[in-house]
Amino acid sequence: MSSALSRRNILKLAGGSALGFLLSPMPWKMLDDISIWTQNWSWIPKLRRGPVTHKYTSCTLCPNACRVNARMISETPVSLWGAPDPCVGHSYLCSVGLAGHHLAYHPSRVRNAHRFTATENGISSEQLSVEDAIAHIAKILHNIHVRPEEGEFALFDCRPHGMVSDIQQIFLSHVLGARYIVPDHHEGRFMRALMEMTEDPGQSYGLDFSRTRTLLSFGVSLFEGWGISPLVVEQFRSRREEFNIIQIDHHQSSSSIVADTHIAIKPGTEMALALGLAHVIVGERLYDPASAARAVDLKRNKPFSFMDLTRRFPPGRVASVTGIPEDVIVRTAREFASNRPATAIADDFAPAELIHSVWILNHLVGATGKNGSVVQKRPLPQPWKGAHRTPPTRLRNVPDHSLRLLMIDASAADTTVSWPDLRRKMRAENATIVLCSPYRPKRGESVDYLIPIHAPYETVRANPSGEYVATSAFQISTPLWSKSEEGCETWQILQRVVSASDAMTKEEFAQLEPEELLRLQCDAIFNSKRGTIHHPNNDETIPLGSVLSSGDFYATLMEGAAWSDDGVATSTNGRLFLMGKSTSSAQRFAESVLAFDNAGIDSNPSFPLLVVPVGEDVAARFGHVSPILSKIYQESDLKPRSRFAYLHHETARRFKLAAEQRVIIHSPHGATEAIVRCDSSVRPDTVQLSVSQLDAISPTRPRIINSYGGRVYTDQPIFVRIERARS
Amino acid sequence: MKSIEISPSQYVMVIDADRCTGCGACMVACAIENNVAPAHPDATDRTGVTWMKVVKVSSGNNGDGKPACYLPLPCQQCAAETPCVTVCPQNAVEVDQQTGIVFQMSQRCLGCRYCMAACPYHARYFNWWDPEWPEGMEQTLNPDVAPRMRGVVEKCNFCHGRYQAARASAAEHGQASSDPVTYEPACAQACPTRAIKFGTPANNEQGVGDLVHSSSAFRLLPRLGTEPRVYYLSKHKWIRQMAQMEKETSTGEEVHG
Repeated sequence: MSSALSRRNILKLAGGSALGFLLSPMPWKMLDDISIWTQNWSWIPKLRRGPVTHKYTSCTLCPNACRVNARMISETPVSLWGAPDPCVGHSYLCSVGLAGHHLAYHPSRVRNAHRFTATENGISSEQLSVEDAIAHIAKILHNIHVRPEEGEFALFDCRPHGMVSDIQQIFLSHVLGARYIVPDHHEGRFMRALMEMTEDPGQSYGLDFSRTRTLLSFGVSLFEGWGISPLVVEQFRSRREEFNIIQIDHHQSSSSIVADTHIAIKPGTEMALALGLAHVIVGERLYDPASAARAVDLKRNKPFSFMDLTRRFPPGRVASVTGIPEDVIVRTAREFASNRPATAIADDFAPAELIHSVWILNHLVGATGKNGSVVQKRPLPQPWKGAHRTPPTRLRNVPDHSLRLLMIDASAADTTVSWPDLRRKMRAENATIVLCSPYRPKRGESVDYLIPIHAPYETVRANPSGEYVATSAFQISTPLWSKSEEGCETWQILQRVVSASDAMTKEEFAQLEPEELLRLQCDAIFNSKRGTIHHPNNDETIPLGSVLSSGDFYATLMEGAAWSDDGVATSTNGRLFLMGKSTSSAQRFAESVLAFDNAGIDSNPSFPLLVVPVGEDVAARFGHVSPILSKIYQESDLKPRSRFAYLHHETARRFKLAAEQRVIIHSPHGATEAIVRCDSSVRPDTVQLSVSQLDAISPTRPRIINSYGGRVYTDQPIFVRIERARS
Repeated sequence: MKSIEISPSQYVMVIDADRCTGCGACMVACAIENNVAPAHPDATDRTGVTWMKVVKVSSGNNGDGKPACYLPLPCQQCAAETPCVTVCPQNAVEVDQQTGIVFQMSQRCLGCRYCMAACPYHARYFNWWDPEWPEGMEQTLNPDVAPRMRGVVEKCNFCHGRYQAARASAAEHGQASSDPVTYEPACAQACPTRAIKFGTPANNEQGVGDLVHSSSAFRLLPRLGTEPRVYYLSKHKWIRQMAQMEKETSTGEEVHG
């Protein structure tokens, strides 16, 4: 027997070994192990460990001041959830609020002051200390103080609301020649318009939908964003069956999809519809008799006749203007007037005459001053009630090229500032813009200095309730991080700049810290002895009177409790003014209605398509939101995209266009490119464009409000034509 | 195909399509809870990772007064013939018989994507990129859920981290391990209108036991016999028909998502 090892034996051994290896568990084990190893690469984040705790605070991202329950791991928030809110009644957070704790780590977050200089190659940025930046700015302010002819100094408050705005106004009143500028439109404009149509001095109003049976919404974002939406969502959640929503919208918005009835309207004709509804209500005597008795100018002819005005809007004519069938207009008016309590609402950015017309509808059906609709409330007790303040100036009223130094308070997350408008207000030479923001300016935001301030949840902030809630409320937004980064608030920077420039005439507030200001606010509320305190830890509500001292009250608020005011016994005797309380407001309303009536909305044969403006990812594009919102804006098709033009199939066919085709959209004012998308929900003879496409084709800049809700308004209708782009 | 009865002690999710407002809070809450990274710059609606995805469905002008609706689409947690389990060569997908939840074990996943091809609901997502968070944001990750790396498939698991935490808490209180525990996934907790309800039919948390038997309840693609554990509710006939693919869409672009 030969024991010689042949080449064949070696090959057999090698082959058998290879086969045996494959049949053994080893390769599969290796695959498993490799899979596990690759889950633990060094660049895969390591998770934080530590005790789990919960902390209550409130959200400052929008004026709604929602209550927040933060889940904390080792003193760091890992998730935010809604907590029961006695004021609004809800206990949820919107998508932006759920990710609010990410904002401290936003990719554009800045920790140092910067100076930006225009060079031949673009904008160059230089880092400097906050002290140096303040010294530079103070020098400019000093020069303005010495030579007033060089221009003015102003502070632009992106979101005028609550205690901080009060402080800024009072502080600026001690700075010679300083202006306090506010946006042209901001939250609460709809509610404030009511003050011009009622005679109750010293009272403000809120919305109470707890008994509302019919809600008539003129294009309001009902389920997204801020303003009215939390109040609507709460009713929708708790009593859906008896809460009838009629949404009047020029496009298929999320609100119109969820509403019980969607009335599709031609853009820009909403006021005609509101007056058409009023025409039916008055003509068929469907109005509330008590309210009609209070409306002093319902049947009066001088100086302006309400009846004459509505007579111009019979349903047949309104149908031809709005594109809504006549029977739908009549049916809607009857439903709104009969299924009461009923409330009509419009957006803060809606044209003034539309807001006025909507309030007329509310007056006619008896919504104003009724529990379950529009209720009176007392304002938040103010610690500085009699203090002298610099009056606010709307941006549009600031003379062009008049500002030498402008400080911008961009602490609000929803900061949709019109930068070209701001630039126009600055002097042509030597003008300086200082942005106080936690984030780097975006493209097109040309500033000279950037001074970092705290991001949301990094510092203690006063958090009064929004304009729309039925009773005033107050919370303190306590920081989620126990050791915040170095930083301050805009008003503190303002104080330091002014102090260093010798421009101040009085040292009031100069030494106060944020906590001391909050204590002053708490003292004012405590001394009013009104309202109740709700503590989320035990879900208990106690009267403010049972709290022993203002210090205890402050400590309770710092633990996440909320104070809400008592309700007001609503007076139903006050007079109502359908045309407006003052002669000037009545005249303004009458003139704008008559102007619309005479001109209407006519297309030009060269530009046959009417633009329907929609907000797309405006919150992400123009504001600062958590990058995780990309799940909605980038990784889903839930929101309209900015580069598309949405057309009805018939419209596309008429203009010989196909889906996904590149087109150029021309208006008398410019052109923009887009990609065609066909959608049967778009009205024929209209094209749905996003706000970022409007800049090139609109004669005036579109207005954005409630950026997460995505509502956009243009000052006048835009007509366009569409052509195929040449490849 | 024979229909199987879902065990009353297994979890079901009930989504009311008539209450969904398309706000996307569930999508954001899900991503935060399960440590899904923000979108890569090149990610699209087809290549992104959205365990919970809300899609808009239009009636094509043939609806009964409601022109469109929003449908939140998580993994449907198929109870029968679970397609992803059948095709996975790595046994990386398993159905927990106690809870009925279909688990994806990313440690075992090779990234072959057979399961994605097999899933009739397009509820599985492939990690085309390594997960990346802006500097510092990784501190806010949920410590109960491990992040996944590039090259593996992932999907909704009814917030398994929350389930485990609820189990641990129940055990501390002396509850038997065989009893179902009460918990709520992040999407259900975040939903502002309470359109998403979750629980076991046996315990009838949030009324799910009654809702799954209501006349307006339906499931997606029932003819496939996968017996999803996600139920939908709608009073509108066209929505129910659309979900069952008994009604054709008028044009391709009507279903966004």
